[in-house]
Parts: sequence; structure tokens; C-alpha cells
Amino acid sequence: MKHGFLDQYSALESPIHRLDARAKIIAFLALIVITVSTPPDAWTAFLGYGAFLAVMAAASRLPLGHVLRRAWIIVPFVVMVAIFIPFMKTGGAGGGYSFGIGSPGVQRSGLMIFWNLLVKSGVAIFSAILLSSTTPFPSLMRGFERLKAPRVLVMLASFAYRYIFVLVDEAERMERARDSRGYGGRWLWHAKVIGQMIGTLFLRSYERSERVYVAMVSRGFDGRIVASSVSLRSSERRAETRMAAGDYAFMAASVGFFVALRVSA
Amino acid sequence: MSGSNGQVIQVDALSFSYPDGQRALDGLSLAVRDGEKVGLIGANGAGKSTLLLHLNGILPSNGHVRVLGMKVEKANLKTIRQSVGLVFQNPDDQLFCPTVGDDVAFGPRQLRLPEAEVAARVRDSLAAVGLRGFEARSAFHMSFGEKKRVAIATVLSMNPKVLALDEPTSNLDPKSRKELIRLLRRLGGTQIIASHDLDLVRTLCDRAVLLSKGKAVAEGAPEKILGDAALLEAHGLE
Repeated sequence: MKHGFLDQYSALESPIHRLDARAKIIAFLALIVITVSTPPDAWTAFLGYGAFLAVMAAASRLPLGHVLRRAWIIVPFVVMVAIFIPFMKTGGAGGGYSFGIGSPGVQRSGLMIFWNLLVKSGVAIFSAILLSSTTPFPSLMRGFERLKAPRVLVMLASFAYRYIFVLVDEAERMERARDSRGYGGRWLWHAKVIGQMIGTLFLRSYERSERVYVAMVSRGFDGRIVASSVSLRSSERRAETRMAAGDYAFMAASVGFFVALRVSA
Repeated sequence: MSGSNGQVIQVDALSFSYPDGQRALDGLSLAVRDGEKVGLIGANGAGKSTLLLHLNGILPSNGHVRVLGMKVEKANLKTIRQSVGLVFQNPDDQLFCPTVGDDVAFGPRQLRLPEAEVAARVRDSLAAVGLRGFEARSAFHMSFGEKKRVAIATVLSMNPKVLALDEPTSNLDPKSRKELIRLLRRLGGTQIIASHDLDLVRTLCDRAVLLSKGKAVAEGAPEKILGDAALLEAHGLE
């Protein structure tokens, strides 16, 4: 295992890891949809959603640092977009800001929009992190496929997962080759070299994609995508095609919980 | 279902140029009999890989190539691609699925076989290359030698009549190389092996064909061709 950054914790042993991928996909998807539809001032509902995520994180035995680090990759983008919203003038034309000079400054309605964006994206981000960190990637793809997600999307995601490792390896080799030839000098020079490396990496990936396509065609690929990830060993097949009572219970309990929170809001 | 005289592959004066004008094959002829192991040797750019791509209908051959008596053309491609198993040089190009099991199952699924049959073929193919029970593994986390063997399993699962291998021993350490040669011998059947691993051709093949600049310039028993130092040197192999 050279690159642990993707599937690092998905093979842990926990009640959450043991759940069927489909049950988890449905529960987290329901959470996201219901959260998005919740009015921003339904404080108890959001408290409940947060509590659910916290319980899931704790039960899955994922290191807290891992979950937060993952979130930290996306959160800055959300904050960047949302940070100016409270300063927007209400009722004015788009793009008008008020920073409190001769006017009320931050508006309550603006703050509500800001909070709305932050909490909802937060729930979505943590849902995605928990789902992907508690399910091995192939099982996740299989789950989406069984739930009748479009095959092209599932296949694209599978390819991305398969080749991200190859790509990282390739980039590392190029970096090493560059450093071994005395990489140094001024900033401008760096920028140029890095630009060239990115270009080369793109070209190599493009060429690889053509070779992969040829390999697919030579094994009978005709452009139609056949369900690609049905489980293979018969014992596994039985276990995976049918969800256990526990999976149904988990799904029903969590979706019921979200709906109750949403309705009472 | 082979040709009139037991030939599974007939290449008849095949010429091919890539779109950039580079001439890769120049009037090449070759016949391969059922059960024969043929070694294609030649320097880089001699046309070995291009020839293999024609056997599977990846590149158009305008009727100059026949597989099992069938012209390589659109109507026959499905059968031909099932009959000729092409194993590419770089296993990372050939193994494109999240798990080994999915990769080996790719061909049979494209043939729309029932899932129980697919599972049986995956199991048998992995067992044949000595990787029983590797279904759930991810190709990325395997050694290069294992990846090469999985790549072979991905075509074995289609029950091919002919195995066409491009540089099967390149980049392998001596131990993995030896294992791979043993595997190819054990698999038997008709095999076409493109390689500049001359020792591989000597130990494994019934016949060696020397390609140079898109032509077959010499062929015969491996000892004879590989023993001819002047010939090999003239075509960039020694």
C-alpha cells in the first residue's frame, strides 16, 4: 500500500463499516436532501442532524483527525464563497456591499443566508466523508450500481479511482527525475518547470487512456457498459445482493429520524 | 473452426501505415498453425506490436488477415476478439477495474454470459495463472509480476483459441520471469509471443519469425534463427 490517502480507513472493523453500502448511501443521501430542505432557523433539526453525524463518526471508530483533515480540504472553498454574503445589501442590486459605513452593516437576513449555506454544506461534506471512509471503494461502486445509478457515472468514478494511483506514481517519478537533475533556481524557473510537468503528465495520461481503450476494445468492449461490479464468489454474492435485517433497520431508523426532525421543524 | 489447412492465423501481404505516415508493416506474411508457439522477434519499431493489434481487429487489415478462417472485418470482430486474447505489454493499461475480479470478468460480461458462468470463468482463469482467490484485490496494490499474470487471466476468461502476448517478460525480475515462462508453457495452446527476450523465444517457441522494418525477413526453428549471429546483428538484435 503505497498511497493510503484514499482508502485508508475504509477497511476498519466497526458496526458502521459492516453495514451494506446501499443502506449507507441511502441514509446519507436522505440526510443531505432533508437537510437542504430544512429552513435555516430550525435549530433543533440541525442539532439532530449534527448529533447523527457525531454518533456515526464515533461508532465508526474513525480517527477524528482524519475526518477533520478531509473536511478541511473543502471547507475553505465554501467559506470563501459564503463570507461576503452577510455584507450584501438587502433589496439592492446584486453586487452592492455594505461594510457598516453610514448604514446598518451586517444584515440579519444576510447572516441567516450565511449560516444556511455553512451548515448545509457542512452536513453534506461530513456525510460524504463518513460514507467514503467507512466503505471500501469497490463496495461503494457496487452499492451505487445496485441502486441503479447511471452506469456511465459509476464507471467513470471507478476509472478515476483506478488511475489516480497510477497518476500519482507517474508524478512522483517525474518529480524525482527533475530533482536528480539539480532542480533549483529562481521562482520563475520553478513555475516554468512545474507547468511543463503538468503538461507532460496530461499528455501521458491522454496516451494511456488510448491504450486502456484499446485494451477494452480487444476484450469485446462495444461502447455499451455491462454491469461491471456484481460480486463474484457465490458466498459473497448471497451476502451482498441481499441486505440484512440490520441494514434495513439502520436505514429505516436514520431516515425516520431525519424525517421526524424535518417535520417538527 | 480453423482454416482449411489447420491454420488459425493467416496474414497475407499485410501493409500498414500509421496516420502520421510512419510505415509499420510492409507486405508481411505469416501463417500460424493450431497449437503452435510462434516467437516474433525484432528490434524496436520492427512492427511486432502493430502486427498483434491487427490480429484482434484493432487496426484495419482490409482482408489481409484471417483468424480461424474468418476475415478480420466488422461482422466477425466479436468472435475474433473472443478467439484471440491480446495481452498488452503494460498491465496498468490492461487492468482498468477497481478489483482483479472485475477485470477478469470484463470480457465474459461483454459477451453477456450469465453471471454464474462469469464467476466460474473468473475463478478458473485466476487459478490457471496461480492467483486463486485474488478476486477482491486491487490491481494497484500488487507486484508487477502478479499484474502481468492477472493481465493474462483477463483474456483467459474469454476462452481464447490464440494467445497473443506483447513483451510478456519485459520489466520482470528473473524469478517472476521464470514463473511467467513456466505459466505460458503450462497454458499451452496456440501462442504468438512478440519479444526481444531471445532466451524466452528459445525456451518456449516452436518457431521464430524475425521482423525487420515491417517485413518477415527470416523464420525457422528458434535455434537456427537465434544461432545466426550475423542475421541478428544485421537486424538490431545483438
